[in-house]
Amino acid sequence: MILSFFGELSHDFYRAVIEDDRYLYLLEGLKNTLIIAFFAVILGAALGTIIALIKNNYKENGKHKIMNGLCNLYVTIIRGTPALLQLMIIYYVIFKSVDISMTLVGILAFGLNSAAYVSEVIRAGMESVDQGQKEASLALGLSYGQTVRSVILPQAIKNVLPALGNEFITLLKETSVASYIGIVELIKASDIIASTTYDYFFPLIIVALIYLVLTIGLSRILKLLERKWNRHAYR
Amino acid sequence: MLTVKQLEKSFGDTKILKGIDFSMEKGDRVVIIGPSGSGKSTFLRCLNMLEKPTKGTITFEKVELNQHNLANLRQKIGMVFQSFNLFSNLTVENNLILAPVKTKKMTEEEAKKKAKALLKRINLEDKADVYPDSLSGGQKQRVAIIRSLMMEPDIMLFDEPTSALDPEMIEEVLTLMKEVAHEGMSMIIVTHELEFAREIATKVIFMDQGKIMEESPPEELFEHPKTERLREFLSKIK
Repeated sequence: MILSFFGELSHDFYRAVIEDDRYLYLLEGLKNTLIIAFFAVILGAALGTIIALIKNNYKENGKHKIMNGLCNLYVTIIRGTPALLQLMIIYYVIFKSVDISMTLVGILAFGLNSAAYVSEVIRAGMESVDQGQKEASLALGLSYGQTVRSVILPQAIKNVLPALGNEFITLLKETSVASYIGIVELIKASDIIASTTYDYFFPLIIVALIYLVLTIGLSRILKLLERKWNRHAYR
Repeated sequence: MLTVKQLEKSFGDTKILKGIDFSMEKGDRVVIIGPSGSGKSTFLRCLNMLEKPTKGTITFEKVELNQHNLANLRQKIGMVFQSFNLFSNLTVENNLILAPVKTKKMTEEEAKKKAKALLKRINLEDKADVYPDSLSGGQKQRVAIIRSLMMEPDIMLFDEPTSALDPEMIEEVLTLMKEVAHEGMSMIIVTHELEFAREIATKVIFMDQGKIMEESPPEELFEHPKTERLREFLSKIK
């Protein structure tokens, strides 16, 4: 009885993963998930930092009023609509008649989405830096730009590293939404396998495990980074 | 060297400075005293426009301060803060060389050499590579003073430099300030250390309620206060 239970399990596992080289779907899915997440994080961090800098510069010096308004609008729209909707608009509307790689669409959509959240995190981080730091730098004759680059931003990013880490982990999981427009990432891969074997158990469990390994790994790496940064005795 | 005309500063509806006229010559050491809330720190912070004056003009070395020449003039106006404000993300050495290198006043090499010499002068050569957090308050303030000296300023502003220090560390900071003074640095110092003021100042200013109430050499101001307010203030502090 028990033996046949395990026998059935191993048979299901065989059908889900090994038969007809179905594990290749999973590898493909993992590859695309990683590529989209990785480049979207970079795009999101870069664009998010730029948005944060524009908003900060407006708040501190009243400069670039129009750019600041655009940034506010951008952040409001992105944070106020579902990521899936943004992905669909980019894929079905903006790139409707353009032959563009689906992966690139995914990177763009999730990068642009993440930028809005990252910008808010970094902006809050910049505001949390002690005013005296800025004053000391300005009093020495540095420009505001130099002050931000050398003093404020490094301290801000260090302060918000845990929040940024959460943002990256959220983004990694959020990429699963890409399955909706047919990108073969992990969820889509499991879906493809399940729809040929009519068994969802192993495809879903395996994908869940992969996600867990990725997110736990990522948070470990971020913890290490934090600790390395904190090893300097500074605050 | 420094002339202030009809300086006013308000925060919202509250008038902190109510029309200040002030001038000093090169080599002068002006100490500003007065009860808290009298506007002395605000006045000092207006001089390098960390606070933007609501009205009035500040002329430094014949140039009137404005938004465009501000960064350049600030390079010649050193400032030391009550809370030190050493850059917590930079080592002591990098705190010292940041401004001279970024403003292209010195090459990195020259700045490092100067930083080393100044650290040696205050007996902290071994602290070049540590972060400010591991320094004591007195050490932090002395580093902050030499950070300001790195820019070879023409004048230095001190905003209650010893008020945040434990009593046993006040002396080391005052000693360094006296040394800098004896080298001929022009200074404006906001402080509660009256003994120090008496010893170092060429002129003492008593401020109250946003105005300069009295202004004279230290002996005169401390021995023969003219106003009731100053007499009251001195009797409370002593």
